[in-house]
Amino acid sequence: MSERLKHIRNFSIIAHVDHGKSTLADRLMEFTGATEKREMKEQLLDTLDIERERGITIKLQAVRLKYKAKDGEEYTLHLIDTPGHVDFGYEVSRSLTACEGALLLIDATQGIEAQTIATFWQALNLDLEIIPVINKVDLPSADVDRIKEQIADVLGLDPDEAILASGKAGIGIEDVLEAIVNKIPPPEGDENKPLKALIFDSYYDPYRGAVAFIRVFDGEVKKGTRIRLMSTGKEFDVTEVGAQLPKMTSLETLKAGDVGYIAAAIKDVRDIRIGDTITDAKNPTDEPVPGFRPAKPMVYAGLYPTGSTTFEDLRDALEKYSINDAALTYEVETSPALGLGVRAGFLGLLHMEIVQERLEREYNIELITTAPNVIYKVITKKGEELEIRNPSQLPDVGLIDKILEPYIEASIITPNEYVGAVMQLVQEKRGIQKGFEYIDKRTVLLRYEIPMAEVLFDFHDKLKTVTRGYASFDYEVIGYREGDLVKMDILINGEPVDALSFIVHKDKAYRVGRSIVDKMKEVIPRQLFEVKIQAAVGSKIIASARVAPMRRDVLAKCYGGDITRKKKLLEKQKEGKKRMKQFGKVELPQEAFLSILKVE
Amino acid sequence: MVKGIYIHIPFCNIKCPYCDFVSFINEDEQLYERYVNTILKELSFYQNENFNIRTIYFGGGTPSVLKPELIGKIISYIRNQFDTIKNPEITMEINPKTYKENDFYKVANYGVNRISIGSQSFLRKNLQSLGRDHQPIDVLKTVEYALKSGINNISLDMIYGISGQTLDDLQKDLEIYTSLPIKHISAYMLTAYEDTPLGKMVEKQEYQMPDEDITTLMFEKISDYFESKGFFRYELSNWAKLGFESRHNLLYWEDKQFLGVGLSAWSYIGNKRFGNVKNINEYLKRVENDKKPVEYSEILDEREKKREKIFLGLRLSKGIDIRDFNSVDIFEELSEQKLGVIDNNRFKLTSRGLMVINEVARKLIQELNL
Repeated sequence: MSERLKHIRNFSIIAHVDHGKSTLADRLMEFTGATEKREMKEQLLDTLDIERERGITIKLQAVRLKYKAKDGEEYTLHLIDTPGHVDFGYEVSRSLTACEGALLLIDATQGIEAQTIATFWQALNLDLEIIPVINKVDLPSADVDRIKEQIADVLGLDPDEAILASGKAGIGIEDVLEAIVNKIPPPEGDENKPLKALIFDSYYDPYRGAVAFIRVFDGEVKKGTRIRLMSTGKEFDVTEVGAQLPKMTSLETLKAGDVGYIAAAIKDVRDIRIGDTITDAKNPTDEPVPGFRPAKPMVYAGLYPTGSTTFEDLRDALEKYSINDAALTYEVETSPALGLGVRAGFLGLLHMEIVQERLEREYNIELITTAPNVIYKVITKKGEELEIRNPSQLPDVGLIDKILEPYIEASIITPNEYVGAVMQLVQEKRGIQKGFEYIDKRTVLLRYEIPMAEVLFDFHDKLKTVTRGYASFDYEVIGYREGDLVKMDILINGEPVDALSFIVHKDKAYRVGRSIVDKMKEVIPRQLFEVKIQAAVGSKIIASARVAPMRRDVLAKCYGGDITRKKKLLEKQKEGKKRMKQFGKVELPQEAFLSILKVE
Repeated sequence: MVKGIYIHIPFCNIKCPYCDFVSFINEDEQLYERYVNTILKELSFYQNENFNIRTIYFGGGTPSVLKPELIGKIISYIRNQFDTIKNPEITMEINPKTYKENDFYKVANYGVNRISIGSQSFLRKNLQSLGRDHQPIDVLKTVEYALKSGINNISLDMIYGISGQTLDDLQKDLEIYTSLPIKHISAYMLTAYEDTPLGKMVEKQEYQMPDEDITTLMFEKISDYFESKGFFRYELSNWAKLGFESRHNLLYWEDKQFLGVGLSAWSYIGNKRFGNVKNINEYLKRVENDKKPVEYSEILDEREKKREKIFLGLRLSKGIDIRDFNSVDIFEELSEQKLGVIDNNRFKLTSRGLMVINEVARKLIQELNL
């Protein structure tokens, strides 16, 4: 192994949200002199502000640190960020592939959470060296012994190897750095072999074009290298290579073992697929880095313009937005109720929320979002298999042989006193128990198989409620299974609203129908006439409710000085109705389209 | 062409808790005189506008805190300086207990020919609940003085939807109002405006507004009763014997131009709506320094004018001319829903339609893309 490689360490930090990942990262940067304490706050924030003005957000995807270890040698450490949510499991696995080791950060006051375990297993499967770090040990409620017990029982690691640390108080930072140097193996690779580099993250920069964050396994890449993206065969000339120090800094070259970024005047971020392999077009490698798969949406929902937003506005905004989000897919669809819009595919619910919020906030788009749904598969009597991304497209019952729905395996970690409540909740969600084990004296890990549709809406919230916020949850999609499913239609004044149709388990149809009709009654404002709401399966009405017509307005005087005020009031009223969608003569608010999410 | 002038007198003897007009308690005669002189000066700023004055209106506040001579001074200034028709309608709002018989002779002499009395109700408990300082008898006396002085175009204000008011209470008021020798009634549903003491009391639940069921019934009952006694509704809150509609107030609803002077007064001249400052010292200082006291103004484009036409025109019993708009569909839809009728190219709200006038206006504006 070359001297250069011996002095490189590539690692991630695995942690649950709020367990202190960014504080620890800040401390590592500070300790190694990548940032001064003062500069840390001010300059980094300054950069972010400038970036914000340009309308882009940059996070630190891969920071390069220089550390002079106790052995007297100087090491180059690459800290690679991992997204912190279940929706981004694949992205996490790609980030971990770029590393040889990981810090497993556990909050001494909270203990291990489900997500941490899921990521831990991923890391272990990739043969990463894991260094447990118990964080926040300075807090009075820290229970280090309990965490050590969990580390031994759940993770099967030696608890005595765990480093006691506190990012906030600056405890154990040097120990962490020493462990990185001494325990995590240096990268292997040969800079004389053909280029082989993994893309683990990307973003769109208005000046550089699409930027890829890469880990070089073999070979070398520099300005001018003609690269080929192996999944698509597309080729580009590299315009810049560099690393985050933590500022984006150009370098001469990135060689085997290195982590950094490359830019190649790539206009479409979709050309830079996370998990894809970059090679030298003139001297390509035989084999890509294993594990690539294109981003696959798990959840679909309709996005429709409302208020003063037109379909063209929405389409333009989506085009601009997706420059920076390769995981979002969408296609134009027409809804009789909502008009022209798109059916968009998301990695998960969080991803959907992010997209929706950013479209509204950054692109001033007014949206009606329909209730999200999973992808169903229908086997017709003729034996055809159809993929159903929109419940209203479910074929006529007579043509269906069977309907399949996706299942997940859920891992839930909860204090043992809430096991009963969790079991009850999961049972309501059609869950099948698969595992039950104590991970320490007071904490239980439950495994369930649950139809994905059941956890789409409010499962996480409910889980938090029944366990007073103590449980954590993670999932993995495990495949399709047949379900006894029916399509439920919602009728407004006798007319079915396609955008409100959804698919539900037959046994739950009555309860869900009743509940959704009641919820809709609450959210549909009184109108100038009576509004009738009905839930139907096929031609059978199973629940109905009515919204009585509006009684009267505030009937105020209106003389010379009242006119302008009156106008403002009307304007306000109009604003209030902006997120409404006209269906026939009835105006339906956004909430009506999401009533299914609130079903008890 | 400016057809009417409104003069705002922002002084009162007491401040009623529900009132949202700009006024304050002040009994300083010197300030009154200074204020009137300022009004005259403000009027002089508009000499170059095109006037054909048909109505003059003294509103407040309480215009009748001013001595009749000061009212007279303003009227004669207007008549001398602006083109005024021979018999303009000159209205003065009068609070019970302020003007005595002699004062009426005086203002009648200066040209006041219509008075509007802040009577509100003839039931003591209502007057108390509204924080009024007069008694029912004071209203009767005021009507009597006006008639004696030769002013027979009399309007009375009525407020309903008062805390604790029953339908029987309302019936009593309706009977008294319609039995009096008056020509006009303005009946307002009590509104708890945000920035008024009443609004704050309602917010703190110290004042219980009657529920929607009862006020809805009251709204219907009032119109039925007034119409049966020969008072015809010509606007959402206004009823008159034939030919005694308030010509001045009709300017507001019929999209006509008017000049408003005095503290917080609003004008509509050319295609511009503008409003004066609300601070008395600022008002006096600005005018005395030869500056217009305008603090808010808005140019109306065609679209805005059409919007105003809708929400102002809907208030009137004669409704709006549907030929002013590019589609009749929405008018037909609203007629089918019994919220209005189309009659001779005009769309008029029914009683049910009037009750939801804001929602109908919003709907029209939305459907007509205005």
